[in-house]
Amino acid sequence: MSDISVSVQLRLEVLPDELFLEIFQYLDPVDLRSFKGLNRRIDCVIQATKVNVVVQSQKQNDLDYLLSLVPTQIIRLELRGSWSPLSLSTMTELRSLTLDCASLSRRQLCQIVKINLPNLKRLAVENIEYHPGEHSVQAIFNGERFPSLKICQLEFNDVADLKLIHNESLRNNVLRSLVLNKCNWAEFGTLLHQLTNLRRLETSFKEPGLTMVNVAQPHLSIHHLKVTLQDPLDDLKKILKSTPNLTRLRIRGKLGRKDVPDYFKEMARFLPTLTSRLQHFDCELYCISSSSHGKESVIRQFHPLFKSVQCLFGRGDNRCYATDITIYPTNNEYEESLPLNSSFMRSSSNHWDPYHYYSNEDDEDAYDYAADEYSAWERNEYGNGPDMYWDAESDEWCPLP
Amino acid sequence: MATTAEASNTTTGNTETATGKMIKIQSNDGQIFEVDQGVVEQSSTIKTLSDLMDVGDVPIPLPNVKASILGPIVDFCNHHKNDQKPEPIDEDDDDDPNKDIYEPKRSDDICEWDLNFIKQFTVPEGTLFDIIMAANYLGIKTLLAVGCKTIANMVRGKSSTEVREMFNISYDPPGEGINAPNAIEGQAGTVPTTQDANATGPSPQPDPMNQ
Repeated sequence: MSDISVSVQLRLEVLPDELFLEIFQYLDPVDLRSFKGLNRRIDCVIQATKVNVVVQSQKQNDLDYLLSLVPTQIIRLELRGSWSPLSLSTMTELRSLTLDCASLSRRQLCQIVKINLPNLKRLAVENIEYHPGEHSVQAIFNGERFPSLKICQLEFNDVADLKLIHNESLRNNVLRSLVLNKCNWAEFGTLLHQLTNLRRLETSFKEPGLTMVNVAQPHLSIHHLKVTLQDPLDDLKKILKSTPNLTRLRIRGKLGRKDVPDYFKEMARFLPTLTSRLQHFDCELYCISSSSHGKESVIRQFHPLFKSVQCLFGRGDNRCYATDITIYPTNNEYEESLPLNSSFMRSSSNHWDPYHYYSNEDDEDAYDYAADEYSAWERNEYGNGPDMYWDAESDEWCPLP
Repeated sequence: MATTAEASNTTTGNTETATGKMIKIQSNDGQIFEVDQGVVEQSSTIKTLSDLMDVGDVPIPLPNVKASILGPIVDFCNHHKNDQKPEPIDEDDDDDPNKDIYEPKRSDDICEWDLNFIKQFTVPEGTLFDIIMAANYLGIKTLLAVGCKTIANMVRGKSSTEVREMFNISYDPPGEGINAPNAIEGQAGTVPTTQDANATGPSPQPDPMNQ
């Protein structure tokens, strides 16, 4: 190393190549282009620089600079727009790939299941749609084309669902983390059977599990599960029987008008039996309750894992018992609209008839009227209502200042 | 002869304070700085040297850093010594689908104190490169990141010509590099890297890394 106490040259070029690389990692490829062609040494450093490429809805001309890159320089590609010269097969150093199927041509889509990307560790595919006879997901899971793939996120569009070839063994896959925006019970057993190295699973079941999960043996590797269930009690039991070694669990779902403390009491009973190693528990459970006070103090006594549960107040009688969010998420799929006859709501909230609720689709005017008229029931600035907020310091409900 | 700069708030005659053991470090021009463990912990080089050598009251020599750079570095480390430590890496982090470790690094997140700190180092004086080199030598990752991000922010949106002028970047010697006779083929359209004999600008100079 030269003596840095004497800055005789006053130039960027006094820096060694590794510091050029350090600087270049903060530059977009388009800015990196400004260094290209300055001199031979800097060109060599640029060629050794690993780059991230994000293609969105730019004009093709605006993407011309990408052609100056050596394909093996690209280690991360996010493709959310069309890029005609795309040739994934040349990007053999890719580590992370994100594709939005809605923005790709049919030919480009076909590339995904035919290319070999030996270093790919992370793959996210959005807006997946199926065509008859296709099993592209199976091709992704198959370790032969992506032997290093550890993290996979798949987002199916509204009409497509996960489809797997049953009885096929995927011995080569090393997938450790899988996120599916939706899953169905029919495929769930096969999924667990095929992905033997899976440690982390995040998914959502849109239908209640009417039948038992078809799992010959419990999946022993999964230790982190985030799941949305239609029936957070019975469906949860079914899943936990398949994943006995969980250490982290997050459950999301709808309890409706069920007695919430009863639900947690029942869960406190079966959690230690089904998942004896569980150390972290989070929840986001929606319910309808006319009570102006949450029941978290009761719930917390059932199990040490429930000590962070708190009640978040949504509009009207909408409530959410949660651990890792602090504001009621509005416009969630479980939220019930405010009633039209709000005087009824005000005077008889303890005897509310659920069938008098109005959905947004059925009568938007009625919804707006109710919302305007009874702003007291709106969420307050702290995300809770009515006219109360949870003071974390004093650990109690307080009236709004 | 060495002079001593009191870099810590509670410099005492011996090497123990309420904040722990004090260490002396010496710049290449002989100035001695006394620093506490909070500073030492941020520099992998100083930490390694102090662990390996039972230095006692003898200053650790840092032959690649002069006092005018080492002083501000000690200030930087003193300012950041109480920063929240990054959370220990969870066993799960490798598998976290919500984190993409290959995402591009941001350069627009330099805190205000660091922005003001780095302003004292400039390109024309060459001190910005000195501080980056010293941060690299001393293994102070946070300072190295601030320096590199500063350079990246200066370059953003600039043309090749502007970058060359801003950093006084040299041309390849005539007939060498990209414009060398045997290298011209296939390089059409690139910016010439050999200086025009009539052009003004920096003269080709030998690569300091190869000296």
